[in-house]
Amino acid sequence: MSAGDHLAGLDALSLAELRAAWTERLGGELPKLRTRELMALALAHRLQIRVHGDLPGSSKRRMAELARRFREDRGYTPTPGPNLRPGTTLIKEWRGVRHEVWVLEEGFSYMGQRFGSLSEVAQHITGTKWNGRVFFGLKERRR
Amino acid sequence: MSVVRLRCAIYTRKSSEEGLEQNFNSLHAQREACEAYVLSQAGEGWNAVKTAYDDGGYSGGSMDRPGLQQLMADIQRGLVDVVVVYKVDRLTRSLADFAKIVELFDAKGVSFVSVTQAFNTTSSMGRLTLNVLLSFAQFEREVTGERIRDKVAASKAKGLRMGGQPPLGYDIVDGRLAVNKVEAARVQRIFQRYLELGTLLDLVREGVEAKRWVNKSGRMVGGGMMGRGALHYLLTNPAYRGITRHHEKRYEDTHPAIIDAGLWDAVQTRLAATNASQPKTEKRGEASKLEGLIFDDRDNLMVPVHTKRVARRYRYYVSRPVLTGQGRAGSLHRIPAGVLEQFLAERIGPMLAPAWRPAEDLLDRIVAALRSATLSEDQIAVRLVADALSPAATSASAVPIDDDGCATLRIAFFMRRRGAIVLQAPGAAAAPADRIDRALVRAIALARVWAVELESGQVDSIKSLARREGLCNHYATRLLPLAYLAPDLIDEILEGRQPRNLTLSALTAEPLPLDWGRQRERFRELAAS
Repeated sequence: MSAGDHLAGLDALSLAELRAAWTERLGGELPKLRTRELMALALAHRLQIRVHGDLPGSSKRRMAELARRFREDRGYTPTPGPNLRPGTTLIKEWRGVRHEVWVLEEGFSYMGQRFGSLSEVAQHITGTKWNGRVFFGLKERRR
Repeated sequence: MSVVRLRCAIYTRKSSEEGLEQNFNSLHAQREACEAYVLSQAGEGWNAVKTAYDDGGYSGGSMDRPGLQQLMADIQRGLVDVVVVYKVDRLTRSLADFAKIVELFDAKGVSFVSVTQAFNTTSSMGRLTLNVLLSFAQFEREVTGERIRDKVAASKAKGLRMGGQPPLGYDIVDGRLAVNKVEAARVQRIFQRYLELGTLLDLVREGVEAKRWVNKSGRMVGGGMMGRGALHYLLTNPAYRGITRHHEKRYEDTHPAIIDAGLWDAVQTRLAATNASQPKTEKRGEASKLEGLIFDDRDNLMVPVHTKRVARRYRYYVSRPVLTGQGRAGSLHRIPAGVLEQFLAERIGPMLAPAWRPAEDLLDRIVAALRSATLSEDQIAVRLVADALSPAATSASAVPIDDDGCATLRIAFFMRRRGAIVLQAPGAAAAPADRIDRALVRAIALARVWAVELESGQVDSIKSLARREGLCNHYATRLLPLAYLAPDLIDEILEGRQPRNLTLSALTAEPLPLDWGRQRERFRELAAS
């Protein structure tokens, strides 16, 4: 069944019919939306998420973070984060010592040694398991 | 017999400025008396010089007076033969200063005449008279000073106020501090609020209004917002414990306390705990050499600060608004000093011409070349004196040189949390920051938040949502569908990969299709148009 069939006819439904369709097809709690347009969009969106999947978690978190910053600061302008192309250097000061990691085509290079992932490098440096992206500040630690 | 012409300089002085605005004041009176005296000696060849050496409103206790300085200079240049004053103490009240003046007079052969105190400085007896006179003048000054100091000390011991603005929370009644109930409640609130917030800066940010007070001359003073220093003074003012302070001495129970011992002690402990004690200068270790050169992307100066944690000192450059609570800091408002310094050493060092201050330490050479460095989230813009750069560095990157002879280099740089940095590969094209459509990203991010609020009933209608956000209903209604955009399209927009023609207005011009497939088609149509 294609997504199109799945959604066929939603456009023509009234708000009450959309509510009924939601209960029938999705169950759970009804959203408290009070306009037909939004209700139709919300229902269609949920149905398509079921079939095709939602926004990846990282993008969701980025969106939430962006929303927070936009609200705090009217003038906020998002910048793209760094992208780890080969040749990029990651520098991390850890316990007063500076560590430098090179991004390779495949994996990473630290002190002349090759590593498959940043987490391996972080473990090599600290002796403990670390999320490599968190250790190198590429990702915020979740609290 | 030819009479020698003597040039007489008249010097007048008056301590207080009171009455100086009058047409005929004490200075005029002194001058007239002196002029009359000079005139009476005309037979001796005395002749008043035109220059008026007047010091209105200057104490005789110091030599720092413009008229006197002028007189001394003219004597040095040999323009004066006799100095005429009304009374000796006009010239000076200090014996030590007088000795200096007489020395200069002797060296230049200048004699010195006081109109109302007849004596002759050329004889030893005259000098003795003068010294005795001045000794007493000085003695009187000192005794007066002591008397006043003793009186202040005695009054303080009794808890009497010696003038000046009372602390917030008190009024002055019969020369003593009396509790002002309204203000006292405010003081208690400030103490409590400090404990809750835990930092002075947060308290400053919240805003604490200073005392408004009508001073003796009837002027309304104060009432501004208190800064960190003022708040610290307030929180440590022992007056709130009923103590009057006079230098090192403290007199207890001189007036009613406002803050009870428990609250007071808690606040003092908290203050002591957060106070990063300033290290002694010689112990500071490496200095922050980039002081004054680092700015954030809102043009705030980033000042060096250091903090201590477990026997290790950490240095940072921090945007000023973070420290003062005034203004807004840029996107990157704090950077470990070592990280920044090393970064510059590694990146700028190789670009310097070998002849640029070859003898100095690398960082000193960079500091000498650096005019400013502006930090933002994704780059550092470094302004350098072009002469300091090696020809290879300037030609290779074709950096334009501005009117001041400076070149601005932009270096991709991502400062991450906790001392991590990403240096982009030199050849890699920077991520297309300009492709990220700020308006579009913002609309989607906000629409997603709003949609959640509407669906969950946290906000009951689009209308109240729009009111809260300060938007019109129509606009909010137009943005809201963006919350239901297909995930891959959201990702495209997040990363700046969306079609160029896709703007917020283009995307919201028509109702958004329910079907993600149709939404993608809409993207492609817009890309083609």
